Amino acid sequence: MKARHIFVIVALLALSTAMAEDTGVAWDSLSAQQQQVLDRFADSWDSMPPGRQQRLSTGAHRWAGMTPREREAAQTRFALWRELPDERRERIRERYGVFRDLPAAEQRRIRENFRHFRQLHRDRRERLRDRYRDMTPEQRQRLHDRMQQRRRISTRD
Amino acid sequence: MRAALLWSLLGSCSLASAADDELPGMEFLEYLGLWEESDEIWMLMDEQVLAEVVPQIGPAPHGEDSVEKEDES
Repeated sequence: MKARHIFVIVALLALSTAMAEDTGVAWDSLSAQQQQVLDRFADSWDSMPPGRQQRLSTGAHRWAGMTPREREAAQTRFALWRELPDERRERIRERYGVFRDLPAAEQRRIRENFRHFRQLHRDRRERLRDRYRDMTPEQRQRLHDRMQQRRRISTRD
Repeated sequence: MRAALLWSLLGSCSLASAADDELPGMEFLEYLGLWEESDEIWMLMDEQVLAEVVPQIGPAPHGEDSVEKEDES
């Protein structure tokens, strides 16, 4: 039942992504700021795949709204992103797809957990990472089951 | 007069060039457009599993990783 539920979510995600990518973005529909950022690509815009048009228009919108400091931080993250192996990037994108489909409260809870994790001392984070990576699939499953159980109990309370 | 015109032309060219340099490349813009919110979100997704695990376990006493204790039980 659980597996079926996950399958439906993944199928819906894939469908919604495909539908979104099918719809291109007309150059004229871009804001003046977006057009300014994307000016160098104006001539080739109409021949771009719809998915690329979507990403570029979103990216240009985001870039235009960033402060210099935010831009610098984003460029640093981009450098890190590029260094990741393809498989890891794919895994992150998949998780992000599932994350977007979660209820707002669940997303908030995950963000809070993430903040908690980031506040840990760097050495401890590294040790936890290593420890988690060394776990067998069965050990990970046990840990996740315990988490689910605790979450259910805390929700009931 | 001619020299002044030449200098102003050179000046405007270098300004345009500097402005072009500041504009992000296609790959970077596409990267920014991958995420519905801040691109920082991918770091959360990368660490999500651990971030999920750690708060459930609670703070480690005396600097020990309680993940190990949980796992060994």
